[in-house]
Amino acid sequence: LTVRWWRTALTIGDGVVLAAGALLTGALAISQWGGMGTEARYAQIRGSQGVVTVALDHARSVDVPGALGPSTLEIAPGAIRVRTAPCAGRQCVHAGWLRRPGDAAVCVPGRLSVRVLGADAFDAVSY
Amino acid sequence: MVLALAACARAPEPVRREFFALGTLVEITVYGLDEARALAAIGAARAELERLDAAWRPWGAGELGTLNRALEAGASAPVSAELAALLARAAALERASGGRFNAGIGQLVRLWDFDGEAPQGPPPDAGHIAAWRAAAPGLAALRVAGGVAASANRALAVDLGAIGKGYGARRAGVALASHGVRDALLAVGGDILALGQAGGRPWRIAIRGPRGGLLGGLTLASGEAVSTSGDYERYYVWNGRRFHHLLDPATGADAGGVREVLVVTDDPVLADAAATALFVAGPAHWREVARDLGVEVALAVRADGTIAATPAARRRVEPVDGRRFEEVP
Repeated sequence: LTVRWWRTALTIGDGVVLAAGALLTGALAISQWGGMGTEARYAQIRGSQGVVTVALDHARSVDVPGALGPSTLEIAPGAIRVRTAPCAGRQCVHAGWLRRPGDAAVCVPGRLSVRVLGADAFDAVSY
Repeated sequence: MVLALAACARAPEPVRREFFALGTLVEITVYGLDEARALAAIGAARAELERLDAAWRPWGAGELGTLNRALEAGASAPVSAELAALLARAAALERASGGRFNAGIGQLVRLWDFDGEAPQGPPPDAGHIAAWRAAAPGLAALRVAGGVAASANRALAVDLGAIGKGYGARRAGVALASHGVRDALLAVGGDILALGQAGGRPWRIAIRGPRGGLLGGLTLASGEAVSTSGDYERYYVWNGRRFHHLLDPATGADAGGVREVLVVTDDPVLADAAATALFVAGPAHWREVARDLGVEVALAVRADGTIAATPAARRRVEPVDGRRFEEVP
């Protein structure tokens, strides 16, 4: 009965409008949460000399000055990690490779933070 | 024509600044003001957070450190009206949460070496924990009258680590508003407060997962606050075992059974305290504690990785990466 109702009540034009609406809804959903859960594009690194944003496009190392001394960050395509840090707890090193938008490593004593960004994803991460 | 073009002109770009305060990374984003005014407002918010940081370090030179040293010596100490009000709120939340949230565990936090910025251990021995548990300190044992605080329980020490960041977010929001800010997002570590909107759309918040990646996302209305507590925030590894900072006052050890809790309310102070209370309550009791605290939007990531959510959280939080939320009525 339901199928028959759809067939008789909907015209081709209605179908086109509904399909367009579904596509628009999908596009809006993607734009709303665009980038979340997708590949890592950039990393935002904060050290004692300010914030730098690096592209996660090719392998390299970056030394970042912090309050306790320099930390070494290792970049690979789509990922970044803190390889060495001068702080005692080294939680930022234990965080390992950061691969997804929203992944972050923060070293409070060293005043260092690293955050992975996607494509215009969100305003803040609750962590 | 000129008016029409003016109406279409883009709003000023958001101004965003990060700094460290209250033992965590603070991020403030401001929309709708030119850069100079936005930076002045952020500067005022930062000053407010740094004021609280200096005053309320549990063993620092400020009023909270002074109070804790006095309590340890069996003496009394003066407290400001601001601290007295927050202590009263903390005591009420301690009662409402059945003691899962307890701001009187400063000595336990120190025993576990979580009172500094870089905890390393070692964990305390069983005898020290047993002695602390026997004393059972809590804010119920703190008397505050006429601007003076005292307690008969010398094991009582105040640690605002599970409520101070939410309070700080609220105070920083007041500082921003007093500088003409209507649209801002304040993230004090895992405690986030939304004011107004993000350039004409709601603020979008991502929730990180306990072992990396994201759990989901949600939008916040003006005045709403999000707080997250997780076993990944502050921890150390000792003899191959991982110890985290969310201590259960009932056992004297780090709480188990849950990896992460998220709370959304319109009160950042409640959100902060509730996130800890629900985490400590564990997988069997987090839902009833949420109810007792009047929290409707909450979710908990259990130790096995499954995610339980209140009906309101299931409606509000959009999962990502194929995560599944199990609704708990």
